Amino acid sequence: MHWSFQTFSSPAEAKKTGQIFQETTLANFRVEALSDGFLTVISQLRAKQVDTWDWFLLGKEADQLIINQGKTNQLLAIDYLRELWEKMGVIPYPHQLSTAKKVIHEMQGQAILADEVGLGKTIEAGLILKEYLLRNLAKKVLILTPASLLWQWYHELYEKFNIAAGIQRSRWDWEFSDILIASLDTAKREPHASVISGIIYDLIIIDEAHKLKNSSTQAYRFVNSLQKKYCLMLTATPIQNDLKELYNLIALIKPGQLGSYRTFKKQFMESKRIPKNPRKLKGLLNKVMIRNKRGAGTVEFTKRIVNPIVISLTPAEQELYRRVTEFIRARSKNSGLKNILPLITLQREVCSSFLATGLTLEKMIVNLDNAEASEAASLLKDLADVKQNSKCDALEKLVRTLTDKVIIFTEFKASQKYIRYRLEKAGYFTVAFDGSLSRGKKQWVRSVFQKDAQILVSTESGGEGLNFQFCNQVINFDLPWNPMRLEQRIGRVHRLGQTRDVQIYNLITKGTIEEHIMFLLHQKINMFESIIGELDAILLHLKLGRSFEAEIMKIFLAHEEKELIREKLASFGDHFLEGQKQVKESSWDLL
Amino acid sequence: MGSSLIAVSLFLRGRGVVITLTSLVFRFFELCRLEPVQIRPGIWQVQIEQSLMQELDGRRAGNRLLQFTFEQHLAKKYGAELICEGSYRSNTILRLIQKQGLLTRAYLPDYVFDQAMLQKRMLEKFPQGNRIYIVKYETVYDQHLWIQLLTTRWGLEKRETIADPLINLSTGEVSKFTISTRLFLQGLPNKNTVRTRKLSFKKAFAAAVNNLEQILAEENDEWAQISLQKLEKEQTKLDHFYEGRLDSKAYHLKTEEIKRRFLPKVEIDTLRAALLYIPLYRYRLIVVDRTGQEQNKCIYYDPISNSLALG
Repeated sequence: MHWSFQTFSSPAEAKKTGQIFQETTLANFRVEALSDGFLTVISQLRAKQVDTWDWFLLGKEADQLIINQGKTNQLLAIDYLRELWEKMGVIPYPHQLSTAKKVIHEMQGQAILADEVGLGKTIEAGLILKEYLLRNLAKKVLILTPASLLWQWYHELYEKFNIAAGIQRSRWDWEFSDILIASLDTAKREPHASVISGIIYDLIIIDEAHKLKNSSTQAYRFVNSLQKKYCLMLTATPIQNDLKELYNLIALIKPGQLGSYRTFKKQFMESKRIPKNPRKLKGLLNKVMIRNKRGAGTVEFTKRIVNPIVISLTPAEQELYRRVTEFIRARSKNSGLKNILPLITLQREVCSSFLATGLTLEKMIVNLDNAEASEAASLLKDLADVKQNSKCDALEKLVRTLTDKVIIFTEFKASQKYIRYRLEKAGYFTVAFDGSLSRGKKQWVRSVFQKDAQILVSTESGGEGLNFQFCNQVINFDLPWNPMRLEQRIGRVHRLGQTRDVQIYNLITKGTIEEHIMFLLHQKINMFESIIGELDAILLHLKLGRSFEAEIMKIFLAHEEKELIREKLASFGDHFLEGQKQVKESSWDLL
Repeated sequence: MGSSLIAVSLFLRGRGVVITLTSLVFRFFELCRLEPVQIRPGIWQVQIEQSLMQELDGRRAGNRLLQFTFEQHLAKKYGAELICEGSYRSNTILRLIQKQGLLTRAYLPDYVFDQAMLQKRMLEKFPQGNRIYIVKYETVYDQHLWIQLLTTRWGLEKRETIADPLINLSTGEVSKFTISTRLFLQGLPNKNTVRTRKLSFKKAFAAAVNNLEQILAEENDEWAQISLQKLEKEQTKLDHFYEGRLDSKAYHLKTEEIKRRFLPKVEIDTLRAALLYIPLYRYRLIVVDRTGQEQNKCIYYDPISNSLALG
């Protein structure tokens, strides 16, 4: 061995003790001479570790080159990652690059990244993090995410940015890990919260930041107590219900940016949901928030191709569907619309699988009066007797025609189990994905699906926040009634990085409510083929949000004739489209 | 030289030395006793042992045949690793070099100075007609600490420069380093010729810092003023937000936070240092003037200031 490398960090990289050798105050700034580097040199002198003159001179030249590189306003990370990204097939989009530059150079590292779903907020945050690391501006970094996304962050940072972050497992990790990914729910609890509050972070990244919309929650107070230099908050929905949520988020990043709440209300709130002085408000928001939207000038997405598959039920299935629907109508008449939620669930389940319907009925039965309970019991018996499932037959037939990977979405776990049972029996390798899986297992399932399995059967909860761009075929075994949830499903595959057109197969049972839902979502709103930007804002504007399903159910319960239901849903669809138009024109556009 | 290489050329002001990333990389391999082989125009190949590879790419790396190029189109064409400004490989090499040579010792051999020229300059110090006799000539080595100080200005943005004062450990004098580094030799001169240092390293560091502070006090501090204005603006917003709660813990935390972000400061840290032995030439003379009167004189030549001074 001809060389003997120093394996400890150079003063520029070494863990700064922050020990100050000498401090002076000049007219407009303070000068701190640090001991760190000098002590390293002295310790080498004492240990007689003297390097050669040639290495010294070369080191000096390297110091100068590194400093010169840092003088540019361009992103250093781009050149650094170019080869890695070429290997990985990562293409940074112009809006991501401009966001990273703006956050670093104009916003001084404090921003809410509020791009619409699928525009790559994680890439933007990773890029900013990498830039700060390369420029030696950040060393101690904390990434707070929902527990389900820990591994996704870990892989994204490692694979796309060559950043080896740690995942928090013990209370010691907070102090000893330089770049740590942790669950917000864990971090906000003791004993962790007190340890974290004592650390000064260079950068904190908070994913799914809309969870911090309420300033009276423990999570909000915890994040507000963190000591940090730079902070990024990621959310696609900075406003979910009212403007106060937006105010609260901004107050975490930059308290006072929108004044005190009293002045904010006076200056910018017409009502809870309608802003005043939108132009001025937008100007203030632009200083702390970046929201990239889909559409011209941002990102070109591949096409969504909708393939509706209409399934005829057997007479026995048709009869059972009719009886369950009647049971729901009768129940709604008896109990009113107060407890509409279980009825919505039941109505949706009966279009999915009788197994799911049976399980819900079984749970409901204890709260029913005698007559209703006996009808429910009779229904349960008959549901168990039906051996055929026409929808699953159609699914099997469809899957046989598909050669590539496919994700089958269902809203219900019981249906998920049944689908898997049927497909496995038919010889397919399937994996299941749902909210009950542990953090590691979710990532494992994703990787099994990517490498080995052909089919992933996923429930809604399992889909949130996880990306499957390597797959371009989606089967909606049943349809969610809420367009937001439908968008989340499709968004798993139809997002940045998807290079192929996305095929969407919708299984619709003839003569059921699904036909009407399909009419509303596809024909009226055109949800499947186009991405409706500002979906969240539209729902909020129309005060629909969670009540979207309830509105549909109300129409369905109030009318029995097919034509009348269609007519009412059409006018509901028009109402939605009108809302969309108003949002575009109105001040909600301030986001 | 390709355009990417021209782009990374750095002209060291006042030194006239051009450093290119290319020359730096080849020098690195040379110091590692490795010889890259050009396998086709613009593409080099070098076999790197595991220990060095681990230093570059982390502990999971194994030994490998590294193919590299400085041209982007060649990197794409042949799949070689690209070494250009900011690229992954250039960064790993630069960061590894940065860790080396933190402390060194070198001396300036006394033969590099032309004695005849020095003596001629010495004669010019005395009035014409005087006769000068060199009774004794000796070289003593003074110890100097050449320290590389990273100076980071923290305002709205971070700006870094390197200061490299030379501190005479006998006199405490701080000066600019002006001698060509190529004249120095690795190691120590004859021990008998080295003067004992009177200044501790700590005091030398303090002297360097004081010197740098003086320079900073005189330079344009617009960056600090801009940052102070921003701080003031942010403080006003914060005070408004916490109106009526100015004694709360949250207010104090946020005040600290904005100070951390915007209060301008300069950080000085040592990157590396060299203990240099630089000769001081001492001539003992007898000067006989026109009247025949003799005088004993002592004259010094200091290579750092390139000046002769009567002692």
